[in-house]
Amino acid sequence: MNALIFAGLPIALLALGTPIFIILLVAALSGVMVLGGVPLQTMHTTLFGSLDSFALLAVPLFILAGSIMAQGGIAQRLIEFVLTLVGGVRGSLALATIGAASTFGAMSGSSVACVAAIGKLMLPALEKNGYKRTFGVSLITATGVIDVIIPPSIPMIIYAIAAQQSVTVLFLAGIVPGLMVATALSVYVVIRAHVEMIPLTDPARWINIWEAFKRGIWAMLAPIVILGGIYGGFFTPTEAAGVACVYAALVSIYVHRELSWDELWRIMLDSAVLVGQIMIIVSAAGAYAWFITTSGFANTLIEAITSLQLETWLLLLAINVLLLVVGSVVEPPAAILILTPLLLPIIAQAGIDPIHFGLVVTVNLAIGMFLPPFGLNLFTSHALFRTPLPVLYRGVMPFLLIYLAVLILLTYVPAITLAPLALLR
Amino acid sequence: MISEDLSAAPARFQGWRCRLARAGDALAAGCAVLAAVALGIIVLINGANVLGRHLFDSPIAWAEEGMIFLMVLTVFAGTCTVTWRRQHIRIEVLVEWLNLSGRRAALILSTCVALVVLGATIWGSFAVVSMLHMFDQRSDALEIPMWIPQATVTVGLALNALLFLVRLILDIEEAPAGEPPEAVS
Repeated sequence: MNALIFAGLPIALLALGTPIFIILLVAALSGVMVLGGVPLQTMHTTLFGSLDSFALLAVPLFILAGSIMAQGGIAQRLIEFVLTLVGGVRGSLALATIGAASTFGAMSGSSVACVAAIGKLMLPALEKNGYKRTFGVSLITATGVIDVIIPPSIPMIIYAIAAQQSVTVLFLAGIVPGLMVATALSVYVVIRAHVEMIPLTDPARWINIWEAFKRGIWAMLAPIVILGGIYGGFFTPTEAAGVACVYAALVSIYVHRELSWDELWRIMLDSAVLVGQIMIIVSAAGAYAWFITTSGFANTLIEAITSLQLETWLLLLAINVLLLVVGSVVEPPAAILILTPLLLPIIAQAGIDPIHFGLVVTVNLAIGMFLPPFGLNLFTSHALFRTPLPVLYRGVMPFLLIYLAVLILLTYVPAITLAPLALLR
Repeated sequence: MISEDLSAAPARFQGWRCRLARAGDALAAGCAVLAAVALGIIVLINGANVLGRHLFDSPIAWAEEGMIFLMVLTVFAGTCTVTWRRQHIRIEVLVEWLNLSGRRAALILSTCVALVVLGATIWGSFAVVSMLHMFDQRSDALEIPMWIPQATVTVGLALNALLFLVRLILDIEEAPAGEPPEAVS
């Protein structure tokens, strides 16, 4: 009966196209009915209680900060600076795309914003430099998800809340995997540029670097303010997100002069609606998670999986496949909130570190965002750049293989994520 | 940008349907403004708290609590606009395989499910808020009556239900011969 309520009913409603937050409420409400003795008021308590978290405040603030940065000239200046650095290397523009996405990831945390901001600026330059359009769009689609992996990442914050882990620790653990992905992609694009004999760009010149540096100094200070503030002990991640909003707004309005107060207000309206769209799921997932725990469904699931006597590596493999499939159809925040309460007891039983697992979850869901046929970034790129989906599916394949290779390393070598944590201890 | 839709007139409807659609538009726009203002105040309180702590060694005691209450308001106000614009996160790939009337039936069925579940949740939520009001329970730091921040959930869910209902009425009223029901604005 429990399996029908917590898995069967949601799947049926999912197929109907019902909003995910309604599905979670239906599952929780059915739980109230079936369990008996649970007052209906519990629904309200869990809905409010799951938002009653200071760490969670970072999500709306990073959403706002990312939007201001994307539209206020900060992202553009960052890209211009990275472009001047990589001149004279074959594949330099592709490298600049990866570098810009990684740096943007260290400021915003929104993958779709990253694809839009980086893509609009880099795609024309890539095409002009001799790259095929399919390659350019595929590169932008695949590198856009670095945002999900490089801290500060919104899915990481949500996992930290769902798994009751430290956001700061999770951010620190995410630095090496993020850099690994960026490095692996860089090696691939340089090799491909050599094979395809992409023309060399003008060599990097100190004068150009200096000019771009002067123009972009305020943009480059943004990640320093955010990450430096968090790890220097000045702010909590939530406070850093709020400071990033103020910093981005002041720089965009008064230094870059690319944003008016009217435009800032429109960005705030858009961001507030986006917050409602994402965080109503956080709220409803709190009710769902509460009933999964109280009903004993999580324990039943653990017993069922334990009875299979799977080796840890096989269990991780099965979880990876599940996360990839779910990640390709459900956005990372929703997927994390639905699956974490189910998976966490299982991985705890298997002796897997929850921080390490958090990174495995994040990278899986990041890959899911461009995993054909349903990955969200594929649709974003299709809409933005008018590239046919079948062409895009073929184009992202090499990038997909690179991400999967990093995922396998990350899954089976926990030291990659856990070693940097020694710095905190 | 989402905000571009805010003032769009519901040109596809006439008579009372048009007035109903306009009311929905206005309510959704008002909720978006409320959510954005709350978000802006969160940023200001956060900035004042950080400055107060580092420059004057005097953090704002109620900052965390106030910001959390405002976040709840942002979420439940913002989600009303999302409901009206049909922008809730959902999986549409399976529904897209259906023909026009199949999609329409799925949409109406899913809205009915939303109305039932929201109705039950609002009922329970109202009971909690009434109880908090009766006992005059206060928050720890701000010392405001707890029923006020808690009521944002009840009111938010009620407005969502109302907007789902208006959508349902407009969807049913609209002749199925044409295009499938789309966002009014």
